[in-house]
Amino acid sequence: MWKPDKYRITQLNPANIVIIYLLIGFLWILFSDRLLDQAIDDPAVLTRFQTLKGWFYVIVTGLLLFVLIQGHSSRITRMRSEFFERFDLYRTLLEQGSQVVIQMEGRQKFSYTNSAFKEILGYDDNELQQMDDFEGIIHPVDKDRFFEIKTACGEDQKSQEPLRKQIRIRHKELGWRWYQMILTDKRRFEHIESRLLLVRDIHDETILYEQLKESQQRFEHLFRDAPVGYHSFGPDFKFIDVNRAELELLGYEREELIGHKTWADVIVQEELPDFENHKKELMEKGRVWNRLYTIVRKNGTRRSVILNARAFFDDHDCIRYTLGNITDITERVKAQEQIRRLNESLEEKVRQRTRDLEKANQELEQTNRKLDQTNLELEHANLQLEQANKALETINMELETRNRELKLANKELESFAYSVSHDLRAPLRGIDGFSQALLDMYETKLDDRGAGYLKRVRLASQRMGMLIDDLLELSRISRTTMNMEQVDLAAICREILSGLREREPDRNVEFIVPDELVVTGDAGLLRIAMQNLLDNAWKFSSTCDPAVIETGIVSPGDVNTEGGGSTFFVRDNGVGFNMKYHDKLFMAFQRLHTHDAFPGSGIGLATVQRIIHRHSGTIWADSTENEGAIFYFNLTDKSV
Amino acid sequence: MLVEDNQDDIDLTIMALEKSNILNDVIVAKDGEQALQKLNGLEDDDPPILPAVILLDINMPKMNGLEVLREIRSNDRTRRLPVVILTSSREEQDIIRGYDLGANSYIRKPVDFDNFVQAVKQLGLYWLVLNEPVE
Repeated sequence: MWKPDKYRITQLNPANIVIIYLLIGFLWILFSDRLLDQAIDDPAVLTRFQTLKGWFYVIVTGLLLFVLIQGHSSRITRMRSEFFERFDLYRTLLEQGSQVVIQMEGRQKFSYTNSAFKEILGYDDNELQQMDDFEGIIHPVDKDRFFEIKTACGEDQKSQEPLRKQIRIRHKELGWRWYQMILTDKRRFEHIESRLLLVRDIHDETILYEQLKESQQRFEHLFRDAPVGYHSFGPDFKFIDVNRAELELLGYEREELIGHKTWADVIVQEELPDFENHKKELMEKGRVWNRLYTIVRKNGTRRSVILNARAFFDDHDCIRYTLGNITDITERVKAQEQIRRLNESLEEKVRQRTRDLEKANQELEQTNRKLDQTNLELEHANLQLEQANKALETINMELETRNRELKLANKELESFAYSVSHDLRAPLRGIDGFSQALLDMYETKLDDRGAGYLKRVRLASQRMGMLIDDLLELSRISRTTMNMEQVDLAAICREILSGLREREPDRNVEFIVPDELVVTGDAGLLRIAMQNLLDNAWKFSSTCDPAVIETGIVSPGDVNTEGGGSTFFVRDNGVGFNMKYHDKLFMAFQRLHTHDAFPGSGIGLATVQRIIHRHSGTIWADSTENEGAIFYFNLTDKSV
Repeated sequence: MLVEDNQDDIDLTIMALEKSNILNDVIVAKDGEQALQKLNGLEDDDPPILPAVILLDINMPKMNGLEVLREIRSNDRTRRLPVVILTSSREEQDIIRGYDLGANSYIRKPVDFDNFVQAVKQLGLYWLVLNEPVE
């Protein structure tokens, strides 16, 4: 340490030396002459002694001066050497130190910088000389602070405290780094008033500090906002900090807890021994895990919590503070309790059920015995059944054989129908054709009777052709595949009736047909059926004037409705028939009228019946002779 | 050309043609085989012929009308000949197969001779007078 007093020359400075000299001289002159005058009366001796006294004085003061000056100068020499030693020390400190020292003359000039400049900021002497100022390497955000320093450099008055600023400067290699700039008071160095600007690298500590601050903030955030309760206790286990979640859990205000309550104040009395135990463990192991407590909230309600805590010790191994967290497990505990109760009741139920089952088992055994008996009987019955089944199988096989035979017969019938169509018609054509040829070519050789016979031959063969055609139609109807669709019977009837009217326009016939009679069926087959029914109606009403032909649907409730579906009818007011013969009505080739009166093959109604049957329907008729006939039919119950 | 096995039908058809004043030559084949031989010129030394129209019966011994039709249609020389099936059959099967094999028309012979004459007359008029065959 620099101690300036040590070097202050208080005893021997030139002024002191002169004063001492003058003081001694004055005292000498004042007292030596008087002493000589009293001691020596002889003037000659006195003069001699006067001279000796003069020499003595000169020698003594000379010696005194030497001693004084010698002391003074040796002190100066010693001081000088000490000063240079000191100077060396400070110079070394200045040059080798870890901070940049810059001597500022006024606002601009760096009159001196130490060599640490390169080490700390990375710029060498040449770059430093070109730079002349920091402004180019100051971080834009920190420029304002730098200008404060610059302004302070130019000011004259002394400030009490040195000016300190944290400023980012661009290091030549490391980029932006934090530095502390310290501007000292104005001082006089080497005859010039100047200030010193110190620049210290504080980057690492700044960053460290920032990180520490951030970490602390994070911890605080975690502590404050965590959904579990966090607290810190002092050495006496009084609350020193508590977070929001724990406050909510305990039901107290922060001020009521901190510095006032201990953990013992918020738990139930019965658990105080647990808490003592807890404190001991904390002292010994530094932490406690998963302690169960029942806390009493401010409003008196209780909650179950789990507590975890860790203690932090001072140098004397005394607890400095603890950090702990608590989790509310009340619902969990309740659920467990409920499960335990359920389990208990379940066990009781199981016992009851076991008893029931045992009883049921006994009953079952009895039943089993009975069942065995029944089984025996059943086996016996089974044997009988098997025998019956065998017999049934035999019958089934026979049935299958019959079925095959029937199919074969059907096929034969088809080929028969085919040959009828071709082979039977060819000779008929011959009979008819040659009869005509006879009539044409041998007209003159035949009398009227002969010609008449020939005409009858022709009529007969033509009628047979018609019969064959109708028969074929009948067999065709049984064989064609049905194409089910929505069919409007009324529209079909209107077409057929208008065709009939065209054929015999002179007849006076009234038609009554509803607007619509929609059924589900095969359009082609239904048309054939309606054609036959209406042909008949037309034919058998030919003697009436006016004739009335009506088609329609029988109103529900009528005696003639049958089955679930609608019943349709075709009515005429013609000759009708005798109900005595109604069973022959739908049989092929059965006729209730002579051919001369009403020509026909006798197959039409058989065809109609077959078509209705193919639609799973039925047809029947009602009539009174000479009052007309009515034909009823229904199709499947799918019809409208 | 008339392909027909029944002599009665042959006579009646020719009679009907005469009655209708159609005086073209009528070549008669009495079965399918004969018809093909006449068409392709394989019988004796007769040259192959191309009639204006073929009236073809279906039910014939040996080769039936539908088989004859298939042969006619598979032969490059005869495959464009107009063929009218003239038969007693009204089996749907026969009609469908006839058209499938390329028949130009399907006529059912009526029993009533007057109607038959009418049919033959219209046939003749149509195929021999109105219709333009491939030269």
